[in-house]
Amino acid sequence: MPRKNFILALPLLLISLPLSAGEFHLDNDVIGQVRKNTSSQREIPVNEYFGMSFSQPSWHLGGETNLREFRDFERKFDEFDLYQTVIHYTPLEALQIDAGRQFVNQGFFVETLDGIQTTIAPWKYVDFVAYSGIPRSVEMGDFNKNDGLITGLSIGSRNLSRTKARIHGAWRKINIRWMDVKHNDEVFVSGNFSHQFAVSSTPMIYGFMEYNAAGKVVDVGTAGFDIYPTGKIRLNLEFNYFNTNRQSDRTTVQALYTAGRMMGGRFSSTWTLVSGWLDLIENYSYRNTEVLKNDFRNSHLADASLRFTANSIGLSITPGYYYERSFGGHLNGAKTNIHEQFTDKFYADILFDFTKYKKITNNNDNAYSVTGWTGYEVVKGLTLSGGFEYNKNTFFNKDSRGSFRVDYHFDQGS
Amino acid sequence: MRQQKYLKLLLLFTVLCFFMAGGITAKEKSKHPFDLFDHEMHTGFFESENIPCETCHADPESFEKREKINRLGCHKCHNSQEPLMPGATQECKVCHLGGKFPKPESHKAGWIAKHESYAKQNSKECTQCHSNAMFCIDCHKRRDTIQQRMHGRNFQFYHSIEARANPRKCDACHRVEYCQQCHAGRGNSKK
Repeated sequence: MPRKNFILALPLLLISLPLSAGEFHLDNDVIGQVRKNTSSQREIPVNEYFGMSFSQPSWHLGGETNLREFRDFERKFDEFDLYQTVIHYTPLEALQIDAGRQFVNQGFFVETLDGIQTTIAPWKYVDFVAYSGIPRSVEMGDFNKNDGLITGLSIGSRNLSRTKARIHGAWRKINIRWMDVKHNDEVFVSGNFSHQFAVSSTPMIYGFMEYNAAGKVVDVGTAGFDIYPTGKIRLNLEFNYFNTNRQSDRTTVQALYTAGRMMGGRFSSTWTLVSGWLDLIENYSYRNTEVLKNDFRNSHLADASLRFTANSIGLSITPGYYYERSFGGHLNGAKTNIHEQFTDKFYADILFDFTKYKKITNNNDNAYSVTGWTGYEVVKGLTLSGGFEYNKNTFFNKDSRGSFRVDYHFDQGS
Repeated sequence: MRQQKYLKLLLLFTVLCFFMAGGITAKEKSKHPFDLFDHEMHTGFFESENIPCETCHADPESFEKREKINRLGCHKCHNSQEPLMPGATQECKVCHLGGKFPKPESHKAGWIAKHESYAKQNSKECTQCHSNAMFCIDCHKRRDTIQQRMHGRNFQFYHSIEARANPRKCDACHRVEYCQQCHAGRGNSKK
């Protein structure tokens, strides 16, 4: 029973109650929708997101928990996700211990981990982060199965104003009980570096490389450049190399679609055309991919949008265009996002999206989607919102949905 | 037919509401953090701790033009893990009234694509503002078929094009089992 995981969150709930000093934050968001699926069955999915955090400096203690409870009332189908329940203990200024289910992002993985992470900063300019635990994936059915083990160490610079450097090492077991360096174990090493130059346009170079020693393959190589030549122009240029270990039992989506490396680059920029009113935002990326042995294909992803902002009336309108081309097909799309903040308490959002796509499977169509939300903060911290959706696509000739949302936030302390 | 007509009217009404209400509700502008800054009081502290003017005035033009001031200079003391000035307030809302936080320059060009590089270097720097890890989990781990935070509703019809253009992007959040839920006919519809 996944619901048993709720027990993990209980200590944190209870420990928070006697807190009268320090900080305490609580969020509870309920979001639901009434819709029909492709079999014309009515669905009423309702998600409840509950979050709570506290910190009590005099105890050198803090903690947070976030969970999701899902119920489809019509189909009697439910799910429970415990995203995190973690205690942060800082007995010394130079030592922090995080224990429990937590989000770990040290070099290679973006994982929810059941384990311990320790940060030690013995010297002013260096810190060490060591972590170990069982990774948990929130995708269906994965929370309770044996999901391997990740152990890692990061050593990095700190308190250097313009330069950052960090090296990482990690060992991942896919099945905790087996030892097989090729298929079941992955050993990663990586290095990151960035430096910002002390001139007014603040150019910055950054890069990182990740090597999978078990698969003997360079997973990632990235070199990037950021520059803000004036207060109105921001530019970012990046070159990338990606590959993946194809012998691993943990198959990646990249391994499904490629037989070799991917190489490419990306250019992004934001141009302030009229200060405080109008910005042009664009992104373009190009990749050359070995899809089969010695068969290299190009792909392009591009989008551009104009962001019109009228702060005095709380209005923001962002029309945009997007284009994608790969060996899977190509598409053109247009999107417009309108946000109106009538008052600090009353908002409305509307999104129009149109996509015309052509796929190699000859599955070609136009897809339309319109989404709208409006909400009002009825009492301090409590916002009620209602929304609608209209979709027209290859699955639905017309698909209308009604949505509701109840957000509650409570803060005590700073 | 009739339902479609109502939907069109509803859409038109909503768009009209935006512009009409937008026009009549002139909002009171929140004060910029620089408007709240007491220079005399701060320089008194800085002198006692030998904090140089360049901490905020990195660009010589910033003595004349306030938009040239290094905004992150404030965060050398405020909301800092190791403040230059011990005892400086760490409370965000003292300066950022109304919960409005300006985006750092780094977040303004291709940030979604490049934030990985920054986060891998020093995730502690992210947590200075994004103090709750749920901020990351919200996009990387959360599953929700109602909200369109990561993918728009149309995405499911063309995801195969994007997955072939950059499968690495899928791997950031999904495992192959997720693809198989629909493509191998093992999942519920959720369409």
